[in-house]
Amino acid sequence: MKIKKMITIIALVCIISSSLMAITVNEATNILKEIDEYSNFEGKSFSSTISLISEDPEEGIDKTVVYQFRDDDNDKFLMLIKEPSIKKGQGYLKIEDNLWFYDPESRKFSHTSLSEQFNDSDANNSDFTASSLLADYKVTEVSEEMLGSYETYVLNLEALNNEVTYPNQKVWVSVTGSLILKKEEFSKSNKLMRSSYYLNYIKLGNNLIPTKTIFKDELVEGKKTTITLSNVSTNDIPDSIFTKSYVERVNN
Amino acid sequence: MNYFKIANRNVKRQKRRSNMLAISIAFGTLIIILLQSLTTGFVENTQKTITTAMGGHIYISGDELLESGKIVPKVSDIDILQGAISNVVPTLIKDYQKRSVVSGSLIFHGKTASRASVVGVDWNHESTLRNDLNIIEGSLSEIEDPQSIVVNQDVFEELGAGIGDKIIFNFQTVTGQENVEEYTIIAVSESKMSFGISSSYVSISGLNQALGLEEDEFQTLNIELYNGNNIDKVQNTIESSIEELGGTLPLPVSEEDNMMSSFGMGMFATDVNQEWTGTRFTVTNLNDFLDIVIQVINVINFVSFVIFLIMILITMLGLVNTFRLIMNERILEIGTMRAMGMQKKDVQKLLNLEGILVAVRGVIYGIVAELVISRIISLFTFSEIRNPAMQLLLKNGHISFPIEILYTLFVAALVMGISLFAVSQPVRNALKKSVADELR
Repeated sequence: MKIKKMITIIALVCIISSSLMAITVNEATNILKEIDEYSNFEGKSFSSTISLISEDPEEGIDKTVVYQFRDDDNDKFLMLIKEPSIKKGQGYLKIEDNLWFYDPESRKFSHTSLSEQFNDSDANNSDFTASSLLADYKVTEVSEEMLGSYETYVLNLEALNNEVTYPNQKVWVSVTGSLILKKEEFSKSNKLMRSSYYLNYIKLGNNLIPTKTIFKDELVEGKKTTITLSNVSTNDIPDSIFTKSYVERVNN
Repeated sequence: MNYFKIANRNVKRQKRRSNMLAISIAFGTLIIILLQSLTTGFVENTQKTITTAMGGHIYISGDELLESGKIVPKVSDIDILQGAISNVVPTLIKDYQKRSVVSGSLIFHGKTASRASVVGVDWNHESTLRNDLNIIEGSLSEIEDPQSIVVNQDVFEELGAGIGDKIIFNFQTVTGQENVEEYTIIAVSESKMSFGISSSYVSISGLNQALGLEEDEFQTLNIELYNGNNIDKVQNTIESSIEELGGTLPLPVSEEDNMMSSFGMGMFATDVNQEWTGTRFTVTNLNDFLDIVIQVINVINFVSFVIFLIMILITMLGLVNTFRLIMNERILEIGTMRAMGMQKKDVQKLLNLEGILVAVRGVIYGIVAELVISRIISLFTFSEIRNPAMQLLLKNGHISFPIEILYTLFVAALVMGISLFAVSQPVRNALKKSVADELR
């Protein structure tokens, strides 16, 4: 009888304490909003130099250096490849809903989409835009979990439309600071496709930007891309940068 | 008088000379027929490969414009399409197939075949493809299982997989979502070029579901005609019927955009200015894909025509010279025949007949040589050459030489006509002399 009482009390304590610690779905939705706000450079520009190191068991190691320019207010970005020399001058220009890829060899622009891989790496083009988790996903489940030594909320997200790259995501967000530390992205058939690890962040005014991220391909063992940001800046970028003519003449 | 008997005896009497003449005619005939047969084979094989790969002669694809501005490749206004097809004279259409196609990566134990094209096929309906796939390993017995896949040889070797192995296919749905399907390899088909990408085949129902399409939807409808010459006629009827039935066709493409699209760059160029509801239908045909091949074939045909003319000229000059020599050698014989009472025209008839007999012999030698050489060449396999353009021209890895009876008869008649012309001139010159001169 005594043991039964003890178990009941322990169970009640666990339930009460967990309900006190866990957050509601509504609160989790606010976290999504915070995450979006951290990554969105409203009222200012953003530029950086990105280094992508792709490791592929078949292809070996490949390093790409890219100049990134963002104008989130006008939904524009430009990614210009600086290295390797064979790809120098290739660029990705996004103006509102259109994303073009420029190849200096053919001197042609071709349409591509945000869901495509960036330069055959494990990063997608959408990884270089402002976050829009709140607009694209709803929280279906929240739990708490220790990720290494970090206390995190684990948010299960389900897409609100069928145009986002990943229909389902699982996001580990730090309890303090609402920073994404890990992400798992799932296909339409609910297969884990990619895991992302956000290792470092940098604070730029009210924004928090990951400066080191690892994207791990879960379909091909040993395939991953490490992205490192440097020379980050919020200095003004002239509008003329986000034009096809700039992309064409920047190499000349 | 039995001219044929005498002419035949004269030809046989000079065996070596007659054979040399016949061989020179045969060589010309051989080259002309062989080249024509080769180019005809290239065109036929290319047509056949593309028709098989695409499932017909006319291809109708559809796009839908979402509220977000995204263009989704699918046909859902099926009534309009069926109405348009029913307006075509039924005797022109042999069959039509509905297909869905997607590109992505096939993965097996860490090995990736990227940019792999997977085609969704209604196996109950596509018996032609089933027969034309040229299976080199495995069997198609479980092909209707939605999780079965027939991979092409290139992908199979790249992945290092075996029959019965499960492979992963990573692709995007029609709206751009990432998706993954697992398939079991049941068969391997010989690689054939399908516009730079070798295709693998699965059941359309399973692929539609994975692509985010409804079960009765599809991405392209391919029409097979009884006669490839009716392509333009049928295409025009379908396009005008789609418009009459309230369907949408793409805006006319400018010259500049057309050039861009030929490099695969301008596919969205017209979308910027066009808004539509429902399905926008794009109708293309076999000739759009054959354009480049036809240009190459035209060059080959031109070269073979030049060779044809040169060969004819050489043969004719050879015959003229040879017959001139023969006439000089036989001047005494001609004089004797005339002294015995044969008229000029009779002698001319006899000598012309000799020329024709030699030409007939040459043409027969040429045709026989062409048949033998073409059969020998067609025994060699070029499957090892993985150049897609080369594979497009071949028939199951072999060069084919279809026999064109009408063309062969035309060449035979032409060569004989030219031989007759070449013979008649020296004969006429020889007969200009008086009998006394001929006998001197």
